[in-house]
Amino acid sequence: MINPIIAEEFEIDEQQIKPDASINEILDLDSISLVDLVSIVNKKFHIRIEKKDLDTINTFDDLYLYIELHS
Amino acid sequence: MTVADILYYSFKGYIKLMHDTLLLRKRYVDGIENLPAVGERFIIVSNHQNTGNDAFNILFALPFGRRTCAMARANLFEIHPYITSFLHWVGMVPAFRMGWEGAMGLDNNESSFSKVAEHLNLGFPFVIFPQAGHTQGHYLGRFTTGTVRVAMIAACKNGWKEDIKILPTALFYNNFFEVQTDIMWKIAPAVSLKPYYVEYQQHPATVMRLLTHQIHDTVQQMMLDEGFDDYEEKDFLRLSSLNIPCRNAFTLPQLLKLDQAFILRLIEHPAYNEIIRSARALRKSLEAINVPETVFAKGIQPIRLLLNGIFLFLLLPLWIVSLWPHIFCYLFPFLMLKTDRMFTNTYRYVFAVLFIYPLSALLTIMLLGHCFVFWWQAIIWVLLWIPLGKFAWCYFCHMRQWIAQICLLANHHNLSDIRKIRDHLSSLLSNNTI
Repeated sequence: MINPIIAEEFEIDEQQIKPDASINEILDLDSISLVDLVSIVNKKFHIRIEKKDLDTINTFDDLYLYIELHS
Repeated sequence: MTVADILYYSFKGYIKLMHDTLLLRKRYVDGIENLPAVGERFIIVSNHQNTGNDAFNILFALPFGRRTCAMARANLFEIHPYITSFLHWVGMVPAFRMGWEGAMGLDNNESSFSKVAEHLNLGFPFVIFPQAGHTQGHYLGRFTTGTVRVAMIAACKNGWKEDIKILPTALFYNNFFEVQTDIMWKIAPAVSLKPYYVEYQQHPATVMRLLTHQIHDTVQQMMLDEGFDDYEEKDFLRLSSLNIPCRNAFTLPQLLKLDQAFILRLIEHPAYNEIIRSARALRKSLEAINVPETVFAKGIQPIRLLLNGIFLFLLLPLWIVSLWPHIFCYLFPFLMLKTDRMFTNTYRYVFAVLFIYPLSALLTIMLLGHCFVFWWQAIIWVLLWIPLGKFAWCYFCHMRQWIAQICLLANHHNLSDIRKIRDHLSSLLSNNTI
């Protein structure tokens, strides 16, 4: 569900979003654009990703699992 | 001009004088013709190594009348309310960073970016370090998209009518940690964002990435980028006589070109790994006997050693007198600094300018004038602090070299293995020296 929103926000091909792909690499994230990702998760799922949890979210699979656990 | 303006420029004049006489020997600026005209909206971006001094160096390299703003780490604004007020008064805006405040703090950057956009639209150039942190040496980190984002916020606020420019620049220091150093500021042609306005409104992420990468690459080409991997060994070799036998024979701009060429050849050298291993061994061997490579390369020179010793002894009384109050300035960072040594000159400069020198001047004049009625002598001595400070540092550098030569002499029976490593390195690098 989140993949189309991420693909649109970060202007990438949705096909690039694979479960074991690195979020940082695919989305070319930096500390500023990371806020955009956190913001998407917050708006869509009403989940605030904590700073301490960000280090554990490396792949899209990690992100899906996090959303599942906290929603 | 308002009272606030007078106060601002008076304060700026004082800190510039202190900076340019205390920390700086010579400043080189290359590309000043690329500086946009007064009234144009632009953001200055640069590599970031020497923490606060990077901002000071850019500020003081600009024409004096240019009032420039900058982003500073957000935790500076939390030290004390007076400091917060002061930082806002000089035009600083807090930057919240992932590694410190976390993603929650980064939300606050929205309001910071809006403030930057307001400053820009009022015609104040802004200085941003897009790495959102500093590196520990001559290499470049990744740039965040924040600079382009804030520029586009400013463009949006003025209805996409005015052009906002980004000015890629790069700083190069001959030494990060000592006083009386040379610095160079290179300025590339400004990148105009107006051609990207339409595209940005349709594909903001793509435009931000594209421009950020372009600006990053421009800065990287201008600076000395030794890369993070094997940094200590590469930097050791760069500064050694294996690269340039006498660095003092060249100006900083010449050294930058030579060092860039050296690092490029080193990285592409077929025996790179062997060179790095040997450099590591040489560096550690020389550190164990407290002798810099440049001293080791010259060998033991007994007559020179004796003459230097006599020279230092004769000037010792003057050096002792000249140490007041500079010794606090030199020693202070080493007493206070526990973690990140890149803050050395920032701490030194801030505390020297705000506390050490004003208080010392007051104390000196009061002590000599009030206690001994030597008012004029006290004032003249304080006015001579600038040349005396330069002398004190110059003497210290000579003394340090002399002590290194003594260490070399004391270890003369241990040098054959070190010579073998150095000769091996020299033969490997024989195509890399000038």
